[in-house]
Amino acid sequence: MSDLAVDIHDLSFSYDQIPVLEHVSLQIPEGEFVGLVGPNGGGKSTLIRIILGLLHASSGTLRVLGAHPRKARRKIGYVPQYPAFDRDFPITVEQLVLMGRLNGIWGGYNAHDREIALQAMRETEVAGLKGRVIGSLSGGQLQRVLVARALACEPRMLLLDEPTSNIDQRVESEIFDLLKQLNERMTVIVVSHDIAFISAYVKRVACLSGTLVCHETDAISGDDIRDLYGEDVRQVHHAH
Amino acid sequence: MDFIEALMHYEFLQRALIAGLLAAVGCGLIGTWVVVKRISFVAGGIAHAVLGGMGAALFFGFSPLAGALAAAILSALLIGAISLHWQEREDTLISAIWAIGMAIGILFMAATPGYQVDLISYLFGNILMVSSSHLWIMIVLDIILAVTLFLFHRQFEIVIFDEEFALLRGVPVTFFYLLLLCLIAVTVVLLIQVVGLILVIALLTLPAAIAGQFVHTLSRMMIAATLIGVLVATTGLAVSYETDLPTGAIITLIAAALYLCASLGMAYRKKRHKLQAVNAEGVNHGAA
Repeated sequence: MSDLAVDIHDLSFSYDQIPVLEHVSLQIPEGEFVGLVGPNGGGKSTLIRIILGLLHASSGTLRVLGAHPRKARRKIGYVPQYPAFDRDFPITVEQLVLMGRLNGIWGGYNAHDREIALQAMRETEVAGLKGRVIGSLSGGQLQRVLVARALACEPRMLLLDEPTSNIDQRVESEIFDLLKQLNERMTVIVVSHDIAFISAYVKRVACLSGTLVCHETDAISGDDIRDLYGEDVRQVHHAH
Repeated sequence: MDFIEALMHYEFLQRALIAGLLAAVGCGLIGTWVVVKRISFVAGGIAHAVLGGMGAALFFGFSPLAGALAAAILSALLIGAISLHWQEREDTLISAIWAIGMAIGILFMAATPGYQVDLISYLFGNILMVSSSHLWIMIVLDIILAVTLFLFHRQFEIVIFDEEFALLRGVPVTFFYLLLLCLIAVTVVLLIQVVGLILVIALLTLPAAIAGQFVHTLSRMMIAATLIGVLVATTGLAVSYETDLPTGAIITLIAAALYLCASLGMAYRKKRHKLQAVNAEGVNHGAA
């Protein structure tokens, strides 16, 4: 019985023979709030897809919630990068959130599913929008709706890929306050390119730049961050 | 009313009307998905490749409709495989299948001995020649469409909206994408007798595109597109009867005219909303 939410050993991945991830190791205990940061093209989204079982590593081992990623994926609430779909799609907020209740080939939604979806919408404060078409929402509202859809999966772990890349800073803080609150009952992993912002919220930061991962927030030195980003960013301190 | 009176008297006209209504159901149900997923080019490829199957069926002495159905399903699966595996060449390959299907059909028809079939009626439809057995086939095809959508509506929705999330929920994306293309194939066969395979795309996309301007969920779009299809088919039949012009072409142009009106109307409304918003802001500023 493992209590690691994500357990990666010496994992490598190549895309058309171009190495994207090389010898990556990362352990995330359950209940953590982890920020996955790094420059663009550093392989953050690739790693997320591997954890979700959507891509397969060329070598190395990976356990997610103590199981094979394909088995674990239904216990993960995934929030995709912002424009992952057509915003003109004719669908209401409630219908989008209900997608989190879908399971396999058969079936629609029953009263129980609707109750869980409503609960998720209340938690992310979008219940009042449930009849609205998604095309009429602001960026921040849509992001909350996507978090609600992830919560409707009743996940043990939330995985968010750049959840705030298209919204302003005030709304960004609200979203992270929400994530912090959710972290009280589940593991949260957030991908971001903005280490300065997320470090105020997360418990640990993992830096991914193609070939290396360094976690343990306190171990990151200013030099590491300068190497990663080529500029100065606020140093991270956490007491816990 | 000449048309109404004629409808009372002539059985072929009654059959034509029923055929139009049955076709409207198919184009409303499936056209919605074609429009939302933006795959009308894929649907066009399937529709035109059908001629190959019809030609082959004639040559080998089968029913052209059976040939059409077989060819439609085959080209749907072929085109589906292409758009899944050779995405970068998708439009080239679909165009090729489009043309190859038609070429095969024309060769088979030329090689068929004896009585020459009316190629024009396959291409542009001949709703006045619908037989009652054909109507029964249309009813069965409509039922297949409706039942499949009823059972898998949610799965189609998630697959078309967000493939990645669908996979995470254990929904087999490839299976449902191919199934959707097969449903499009069935719809094409439904519509062939009514508007012919060249004009199929108009009926498959325009009613749903009109509906999409006014309603904003998939189920409402399907219902509205079906009703618009019914309206278009009925008026088209009436107009073509009164004017003695080809029905398929009239139906297509009525659908196109409605689409144009709806789009212009919507654009006008949006513009007025914007103007009102600007005016209101101006007033507020004035007050301050």
